[in-house]
Amino acid sequence: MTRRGETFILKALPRIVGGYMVGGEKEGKGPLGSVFDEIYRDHRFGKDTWEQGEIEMTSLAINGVLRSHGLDKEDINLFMGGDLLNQIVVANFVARSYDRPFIGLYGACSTMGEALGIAGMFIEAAFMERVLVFVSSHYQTAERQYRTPLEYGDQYPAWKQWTATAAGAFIIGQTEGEVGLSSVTFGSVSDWHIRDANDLGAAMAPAAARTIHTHHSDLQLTDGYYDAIFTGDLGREGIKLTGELLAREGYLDRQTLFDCGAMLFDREQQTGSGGSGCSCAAAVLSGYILPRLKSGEYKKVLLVPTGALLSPTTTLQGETIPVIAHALSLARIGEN
Amino acid sequence: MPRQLKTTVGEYKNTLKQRRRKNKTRNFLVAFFVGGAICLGGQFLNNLFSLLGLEQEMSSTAVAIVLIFIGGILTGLGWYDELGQFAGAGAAVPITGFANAVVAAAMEFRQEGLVLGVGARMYSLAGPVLTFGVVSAFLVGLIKTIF
Repeated sequence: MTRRGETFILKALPRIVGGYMVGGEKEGKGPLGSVFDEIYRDHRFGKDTWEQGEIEMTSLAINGVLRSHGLDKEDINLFMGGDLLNQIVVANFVARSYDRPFIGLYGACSTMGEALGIAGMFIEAAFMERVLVFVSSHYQTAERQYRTPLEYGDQYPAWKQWTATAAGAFIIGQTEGEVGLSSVTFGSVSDWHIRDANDLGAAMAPAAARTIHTHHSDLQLTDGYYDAIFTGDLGREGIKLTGELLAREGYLDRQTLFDCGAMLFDREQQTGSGGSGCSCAAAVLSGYILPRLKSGEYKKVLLVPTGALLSPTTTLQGETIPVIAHALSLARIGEN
Repeated sequence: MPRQLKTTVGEYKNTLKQRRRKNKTRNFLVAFFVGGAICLGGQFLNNLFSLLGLEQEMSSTAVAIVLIFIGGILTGLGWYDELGQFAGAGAAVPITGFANAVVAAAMEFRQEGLVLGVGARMYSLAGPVLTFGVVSAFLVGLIKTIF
């Protein structure tokens, strides 16, 4: 492994062996419906509370990825995961079922980036052979924690996003699979003085721009090096802002800039600016990016999960919203 | 070091200010007419109850009860939040909005049990209305008594 600036080059190319996505009905009916391996109408997943439902959904994703690759939990050296809830309860309660070494992560909606980056580095350094990373987000559990009761009639602006109900689990390994992680840039936390918890896309857009810029500068990459760049959940409004910020830095190719949250829902689904939540990046990675890298349609892709690091308390106290974004570059093995 | 962007925080916030304008005229008009319609409905009920022989004070109470009931039922059916999204303050300000706030919170916290969930947290949205309503009433009463 080599470091250039803030970017770590993973020479051994840790593999993304595979992913598995479980989602809700709305997610299944969206433009990316086919990326989900399992769709459920019931957001409680047969359990008594929303939180238990999210735990069940995440367990289904983990069991699914293990099963679809003929692996048992004993074949995994480390489980790593996170979610949006206080104390990352979902991730912790999920991990309880597996009795394997576990690291819980919180990066809000950037958790997928944290998890992939750290897993990649563990595999690169050959500390482990296989790491299982998982993330989840859930509309009801996120709304009741961050905002107001679900049936309350408050009025949302058009730029608000809809927390996706989905969980994704991925296995990162040493040699299995056709897609590898070639470099990681962990972002720094910055703050652009946005206070509106309903406008997280705008809050996070500069973080994505900064990390993308840092990544390209560190590796001396030109505009257009990546076949596509996917931000996590900036939404339709947020991704426009990132595009403009990057254009000012000299990155003019905006045709290949996409946002996972904006891709997850279409306008008819009345989800404001698009999806949000850590599982948006997971969904696009699993069902959109991986197949296209395997088929050769994409050769090199940059995934940039974005996170808004606020809490309901800081919002009440009138604080601004600190944000972060991490960049993972993915390539088809043999393309480097 | 992580790269800085050429765009400053000030410039960014200015860009946002122009993009994030709410349609205040539309919101104002819709709130006015929807809120007004709810109140007209209440007035209609008031007249109806008077016609049925109820005295004014009883009639007012009956109107409040009916409107709270309607607000609660519509919240339980999952329809009031759609009205709120459409009408904003027009749905929140009338007494039906108060019912929505209490019922929505009660529904939300059922998972956490009847006492500490529903019982304690059902006032999480409507609490300020109770607090400041009682305090204002006290102050007005005090002023009225003194003067």
